[in-house]
Amino acid sequence: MKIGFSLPNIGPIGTAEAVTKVAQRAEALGYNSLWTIERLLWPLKLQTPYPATPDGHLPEIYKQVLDPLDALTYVAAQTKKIRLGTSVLDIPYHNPVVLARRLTTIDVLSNGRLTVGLGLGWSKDEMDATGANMKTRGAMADEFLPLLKAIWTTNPVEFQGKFFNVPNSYVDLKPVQKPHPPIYLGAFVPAALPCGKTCRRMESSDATRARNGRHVRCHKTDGQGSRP
Amino acid sequence: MADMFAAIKQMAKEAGRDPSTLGMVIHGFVEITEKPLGNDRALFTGSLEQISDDVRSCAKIGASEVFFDPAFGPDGQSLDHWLSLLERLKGMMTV
Repeated sequence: MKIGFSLPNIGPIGTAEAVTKVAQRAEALGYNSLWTIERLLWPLKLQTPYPATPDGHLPEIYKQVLDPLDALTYVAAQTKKIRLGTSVLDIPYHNPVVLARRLTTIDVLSNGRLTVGLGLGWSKDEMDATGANMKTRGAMADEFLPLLKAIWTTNPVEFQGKFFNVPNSYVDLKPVQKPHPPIYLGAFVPAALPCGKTCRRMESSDATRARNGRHVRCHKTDGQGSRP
Repeated sequence: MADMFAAIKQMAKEAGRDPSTLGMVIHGFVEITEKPLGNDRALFTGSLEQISDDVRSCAKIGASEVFFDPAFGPDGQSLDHWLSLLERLKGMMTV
């Protein structure tokens, strides 16, 4: 089993110096991977509770967040071997064609070191702010993942769906990793909590996960302390 | 976690996919304590030996990778703390 480490993109620690030092030290010590988190807002009044803390509060360090992909691109230029992952990007906030290009760019510039962790998201506030729809995000993800794979593995690419349409087009930029970078889909595991809101949320995304995820990523939460 | 992973593998099988192609990466919020904690401790929180036990347990249930995240724990915003944890946890690669 491999061992990785987070990249410090969350909170005031997210500086050029910290990101560089952690990345280079982790690589020198032989860690397998570095991972970034996505967070857009720290709402003063949460519309939906954060599923990773027992009382649903959002840790204050989420007030300051370096972009998870830009941080990985930055680190790709300063490392040679260590893998670079997202844990996780929230699918509803992104357009799949634009995201595919960003992810492919990281895979190319890092010479095939990208691991793509994706999730359905839980924050209604962030979905409102990005024009995403909480209710249809599962169905949207069911199109998003096949489209991402289509862009990575076919040329020309053509896609017709309910949420996304791509006219028959050449997209020559392809990932270094074949057929595409590994994909993981996120889940929270409330180990010490009775099955409640979080479990239902997980179930709603399980079908998508089983159909489309090449791998499964598990976002572990203890359900006891005030940590995500 | 083991049950969830088994359930997802079963759903993958029902969806016509090979469950053996699924992997699991565990995002672990880490905190090293100088003394061992009691049985009600959270995963990846406790003495180095206890964290080693957790890593071994993850391997046992079929996880492909564990990664440590100190950001949300004590001193989680200190670069020196991160660099120290990188050194102290490197032994987990050989657990």
